[in-house]
Amino acid sequence: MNRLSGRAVAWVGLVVVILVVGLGGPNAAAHGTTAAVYALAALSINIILGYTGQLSLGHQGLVGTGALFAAYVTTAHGLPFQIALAIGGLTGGLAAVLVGFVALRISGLYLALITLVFGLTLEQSLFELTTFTGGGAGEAANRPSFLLPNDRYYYLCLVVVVVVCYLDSRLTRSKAGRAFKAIKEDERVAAAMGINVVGYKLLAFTLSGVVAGVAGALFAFATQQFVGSDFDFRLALVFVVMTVVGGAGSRAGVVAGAVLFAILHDFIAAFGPFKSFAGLFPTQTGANLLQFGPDLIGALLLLLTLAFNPGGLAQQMAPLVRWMTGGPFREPRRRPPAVVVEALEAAGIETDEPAGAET
Amino acid sequence: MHGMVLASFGGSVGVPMANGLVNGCLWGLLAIGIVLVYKANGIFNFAQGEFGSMAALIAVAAVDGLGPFPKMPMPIAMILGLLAGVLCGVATERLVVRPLFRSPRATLLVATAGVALFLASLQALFTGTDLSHVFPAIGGSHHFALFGSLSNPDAYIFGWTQISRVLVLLAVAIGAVVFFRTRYGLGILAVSQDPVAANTVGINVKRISMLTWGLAGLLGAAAGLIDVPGGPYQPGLVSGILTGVGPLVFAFIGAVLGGMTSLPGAFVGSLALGLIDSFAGRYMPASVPGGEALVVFGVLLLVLLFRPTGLLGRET
Repeated sequence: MNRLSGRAVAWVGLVVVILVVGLGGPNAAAHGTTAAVYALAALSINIILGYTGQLSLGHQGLVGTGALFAAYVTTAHGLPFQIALAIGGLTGGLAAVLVGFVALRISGLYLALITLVFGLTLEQSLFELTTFTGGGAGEAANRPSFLLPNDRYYYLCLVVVVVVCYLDSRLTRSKAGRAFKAIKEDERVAAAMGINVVGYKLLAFTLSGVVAGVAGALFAFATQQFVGSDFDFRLALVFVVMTVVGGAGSRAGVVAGAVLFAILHDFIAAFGPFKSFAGLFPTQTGANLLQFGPDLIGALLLLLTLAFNPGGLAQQMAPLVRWMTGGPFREPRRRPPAVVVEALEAAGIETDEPAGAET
Repeated sequence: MHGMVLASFGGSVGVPMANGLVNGCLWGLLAIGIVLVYKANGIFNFAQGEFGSMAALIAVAAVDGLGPFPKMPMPIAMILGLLAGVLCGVATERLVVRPLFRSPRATLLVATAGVALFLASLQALFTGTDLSHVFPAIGGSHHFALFGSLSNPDAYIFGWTQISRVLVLLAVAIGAVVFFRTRYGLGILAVSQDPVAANTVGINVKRISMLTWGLAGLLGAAAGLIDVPGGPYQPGLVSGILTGVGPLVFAFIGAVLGGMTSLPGAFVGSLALGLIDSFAGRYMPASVPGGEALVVFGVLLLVLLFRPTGLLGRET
């Protein structure tokens, strides 16, 4: 079996595994849908945290805005699903522009604080407006009949994730993608190179908001209801945590992190040894352990990632991802440019060591 | 006649003012801890609130006799709570901040948020969402009234719980003035200005960093212990991670209003924010949900745009 077909087998295997989730019954499909929505949220955070190096603690507000307006136009105005999805993305992007227009003039840690307060403010004001939500009861977001079965909806979410991943890969290779990278490395150097720092940060924030809004719309149609209190600060933290654990900056990594956190709760709750461990405690404590244990493990994963594995899951997945996208499995040994090698060898210096030439 | 004038003043101005100042005291206590860490390490410490929630949990457990604790009188429970807060602060410094100290500041912010999530979930393992653990109000049910009598709906009714908030903040303010004249306080100030130079003149920077975080833990614990009396204990109550909004967010805004690097600024900024929030809650139309949140968000944006050094902050 040559390398190309080995790769093909791996791809087919991956696709089959992802598709089979939809066939595992309505419950498995619902989990898959959650994973897809989380993946979109992680891709959204990744655009600003991974590519541009900015931190948002208010993304649940953008996701919630998309969810709210998608539900609102469907239920109150009877617009079709596709339009509602687009409106979710547009409103998410619009909310991001509004907060970004002001917030991105203020740099660094203050951005995290502003986005945090922004998210909380949306949760208490916009998401509670009776015009849109009928009070705290929530707004219905019914799926059209052709998407009603959970498995069909799961496949639709998969398509959206694939499309967003493709657009994201185009983005990173564009002029804007390179500008984001420069801004992440050093804002002042980027500005000195003629990059419009505030403009590109706003662009990153807007694109991130659009993806977050689409994620929110899909979330609303997944539960068929918008409830404002779903979009709380804890969710914002979970979004950031799963992006960092997955490996901010790596598309495959953040999607893997999102899938991990989407299934973490139910996986841990269903995990035999953990169940018997919880059974050792009094009933109430055992139930708490099953309910809040996953958050505890998520926070621990975050701290361990930051301390020992700053590249996140992407660091471990790198050889696999490189191989599946056509490269070698092992990292090719990087040698200094030929000119340097010649000069060094002429001077009688050993060049096998990857010396300072590449750093 | 005189009573009626007093009551209408109370309803329109006095009660929101008193409420705002009492809330501002709680936020100010947290804000001082936030500013202390920011001055020393340049870190936005999102775990500051959870130092307080942990302290509150320990104190509630000790008063109620939960888990391993025998039933204890309230003062001892509170001392245990303060110790728990200090322990959390020092542990955060040793286990999280020091290993990551050379990382970008945004990474450390994510790390302290991770500590907050960890501590809140840890508390939830013990109490869950059960609201039956109530820390008794300080001074029992004895109440006082301002701007009218106890039976007057427009009067400001308060107890020793509210008085203790004001007293604790005053005590911390006086304590801070004294502390920053001692060699340890001066050490913290020196390290915050220039760690390398401070090290050169013989200050043990590592020990000062631990002292800073221990103090932050103590301040956070004090905030938690003045927040919890008279109400149910909830996991993550000070930072609001599991409950929605907690005092921590307001403390951050208060610290920013004060300029983020000024301890008196944090104090004044939080009190000002308390007043703004309270009056917005009283006068924003009830048809606008979250009216005070909108006003507070607006104030934060305006301050950061037009006066990023805050009310009392200096150019750095």
